[in-house]
Amino acid sequence: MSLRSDIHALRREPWVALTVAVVFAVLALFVAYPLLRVCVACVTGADGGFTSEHLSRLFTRWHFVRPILNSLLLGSIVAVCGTAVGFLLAFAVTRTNPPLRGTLRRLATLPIIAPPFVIALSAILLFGRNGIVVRDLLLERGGVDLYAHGFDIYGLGGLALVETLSYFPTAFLLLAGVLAAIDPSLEEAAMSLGASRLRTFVKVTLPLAAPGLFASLLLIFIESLADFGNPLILGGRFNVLSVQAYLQITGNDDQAGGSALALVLLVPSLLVYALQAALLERRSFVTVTGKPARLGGVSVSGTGRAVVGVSSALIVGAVVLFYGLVLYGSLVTLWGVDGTLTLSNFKSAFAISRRDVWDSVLLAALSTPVSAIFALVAAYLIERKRFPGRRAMELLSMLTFAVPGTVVGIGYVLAFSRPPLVLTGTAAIIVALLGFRNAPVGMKAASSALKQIDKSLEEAAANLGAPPWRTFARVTLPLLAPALFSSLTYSFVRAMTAVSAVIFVVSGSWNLLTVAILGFVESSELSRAAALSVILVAIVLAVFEGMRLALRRAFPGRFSEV
Amino acid sequence: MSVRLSNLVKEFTDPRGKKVRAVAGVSLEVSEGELVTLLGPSGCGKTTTLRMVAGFEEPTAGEISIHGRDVTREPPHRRNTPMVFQSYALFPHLSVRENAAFGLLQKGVEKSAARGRVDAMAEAMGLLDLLDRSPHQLSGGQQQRVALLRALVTEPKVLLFDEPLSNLDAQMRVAMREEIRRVLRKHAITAIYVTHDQDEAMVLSDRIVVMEKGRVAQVGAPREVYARPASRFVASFLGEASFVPCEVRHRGAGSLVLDGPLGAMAIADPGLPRGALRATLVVRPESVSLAGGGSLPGRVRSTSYLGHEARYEVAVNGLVLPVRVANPLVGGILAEGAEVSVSIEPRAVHALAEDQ
Repeated sequence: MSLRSDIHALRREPWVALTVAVVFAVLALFVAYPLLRVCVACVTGADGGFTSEHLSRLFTRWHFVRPILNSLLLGSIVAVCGTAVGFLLAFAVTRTNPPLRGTLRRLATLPIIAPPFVIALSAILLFGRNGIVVRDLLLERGGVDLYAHGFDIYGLGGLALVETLSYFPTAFLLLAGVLAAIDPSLEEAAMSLGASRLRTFVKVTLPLAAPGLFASLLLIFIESLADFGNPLILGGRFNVLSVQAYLQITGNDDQAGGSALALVLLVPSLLVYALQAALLERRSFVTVTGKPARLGGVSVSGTGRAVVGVSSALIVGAVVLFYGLVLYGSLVTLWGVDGTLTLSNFKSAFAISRRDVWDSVLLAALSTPVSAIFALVAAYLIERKRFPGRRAMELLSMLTFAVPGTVVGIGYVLAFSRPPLVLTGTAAIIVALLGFRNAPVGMKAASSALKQIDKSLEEAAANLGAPPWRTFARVTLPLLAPALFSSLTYSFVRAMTAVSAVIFVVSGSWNLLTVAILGFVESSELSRAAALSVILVAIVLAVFEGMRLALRRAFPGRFSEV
Repeated sequence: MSVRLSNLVKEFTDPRGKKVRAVAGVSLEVSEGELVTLLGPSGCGKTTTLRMVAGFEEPTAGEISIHGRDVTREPPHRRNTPMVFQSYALFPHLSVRENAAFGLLQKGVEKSAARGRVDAMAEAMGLLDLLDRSPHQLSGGQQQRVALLRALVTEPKVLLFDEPLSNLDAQMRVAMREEIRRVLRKHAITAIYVTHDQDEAMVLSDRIVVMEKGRVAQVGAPREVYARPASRFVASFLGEASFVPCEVRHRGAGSLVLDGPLGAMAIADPGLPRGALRATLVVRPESVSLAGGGSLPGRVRSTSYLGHEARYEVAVNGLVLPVRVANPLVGGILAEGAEVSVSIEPRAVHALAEDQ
């Protein structure tokens, strides 16, 4: 594993050396350089020299300090609530053998594929001044005016609710994995030694899940910190970091101040990313044995099962309600004024934003192969080849995933609006941003698929006389295809629903559906915003389900769910 | 009576909604201080039966009582039936000492008293040095001994074992089964032990319960089950056996004369049905002798030398009999194709009714 033997290996395969160089060049330009520009902008004064003025504003100016404190507060609340909700659902799915487990799992992960601000939109439709709950139910039927009692959906409370609903799936997926990996024998051993079900849960299950709970708290905290769409819509006077950074750049034309705020977003994300990378290298705490995990069993009593079941149903019900409401909202003639149902919103929204819809689909479609090819090449190099800087390539190419979108967006604006490479206003900058931002999804899929493909298969091909390129094309690639295609679908979906980073690089000539929806929300055209959201979700679901069916047919039995 | 299972049935629903009977009516009584093994191939229902005794599975029908108390619907923690698991199931977040004391603390034993009892038992088992370690610092054998310590220290009414030795290497397995036998005898503990390893069952058990397809195929002391298997299944699951079709020539008081490809042979009557005309002779490889003086001519078809014994396949009168000869260097190893005279020890063979 020494550097010398790595270099020697490269000498024997010059094409690997060339590819490594190209990948590093691309990473440097589209990943490292924009981030570097953000850091540089923070410490560069108007005269081009060094200054600590912008950074010191972070601690001294109230309109900088306040968003930082707000973001920390919101992030903490959402991390705790989201983890609790995710754990509850994960426990229900892995321990109580509930009816409709597949459906439960699907609905619990719905917020992952839906655009990030749809729940915020629904929150307004429900709890805004003209919302169903606030006006139709409480004020008109019950005579209670919530807003007169100090209630306001815009602000911390509303944001915490909306972000909890948006981000609990992260906790759910993580903790379902953790709980499923805990050997049920451990819980059975505790019970057979006389521990009641509750004590078993407290003394055995919970401590074993603790590392997962901790990871979930961190991840959701970071997700909340990086969230842009929800706070932009629902923040009201409760300003958070990402939105303040955006306003600083687009509203106040203060690139240095925006960069400084972005830096505050960046640091915790990078810390968590580094922590995760370090933890993954160490041995897992969770015990996995050869026996297949049994489901259900007796570790949960009837009452416990009922409590878990009912609360899971309520949570999933809330998710369904929030998404369903957008559909209803899109059919109402004029939200809050005229409640008759109509299709006219679709017509008018589509007439106004037809180009945005096409741009979104086109740019997402263009960015997907960028993600795919880059992911495939990088993952193959990292998993199968030895070269100096392999670990650096791995960390760098996964980095865009960890960096909050706002930071990436600001980085792209700073990096590509001046020579040597001017891309602002073009489609290329959007494609590059979406492509490289989503590449890590494909990389993860390709890497884990490559890990599962035994090297001996490739060796067998070589042994039978196939040259390296043919081995790759005829053996490796077909085996990778299912994982790669399903992650591509996900990349496309993410590109369609992205907002936090791209909002900085859209322009008059290239706009996106998500940004158009935000525009409608800001001008309080809720029905039109809902109609466009429905169109967006419909496209996303169609692509998602279509691809799923196509993959099932193309690779029967080998298709892995995203 | 320590444990009584009456007509236990367990049905599972498979993913396609079909009902599968894992256990189809098992009845069994285990006396105080007795060690009973449930032996059988995978899928025979032995583990499911054990898990019902522990309370991890609820029976579809039937009853379980422990010391005369019906525990069929009791949750596992009220049964006092600690289990030693195949995966050891030591809590990875607790030290060995905390693992060992876990059961005592659940029973409300004071911390200091629990510590004393754990130390005393650990000393008796030679585990005192391991108490302050963490489970992942132990070898497989050590982990299993800690698991045994953890279960024993609670002074269980019944100790349950779920294939506890199958994750260990062969040498460790032999050492551990000696240790388990020693400890269980010393404390006169009632135990139910699930295994698919016949050697383990032979060495450990007071009685063996051979199970097949969710039912009890035979119950008996190891010697009895081996020497007088109740069916072809039992005979071939416990050891190796050839089945030779014979006709009943004569039936006397407690004895029987059978005639078949191996010639006429007088054996003890295993209790064939009255008026049976045909029977199946069960011949174990070690009860066939090639030492000479036999009346049957045979030819060696294949020879395998294993060091402590030699194994042959010998063709006799249209049959192929597996034969084992212990200490083969004494009499010399037979070459393939060698002509031999075969004799069979009538006291070591057994007969089954035709349909058994």
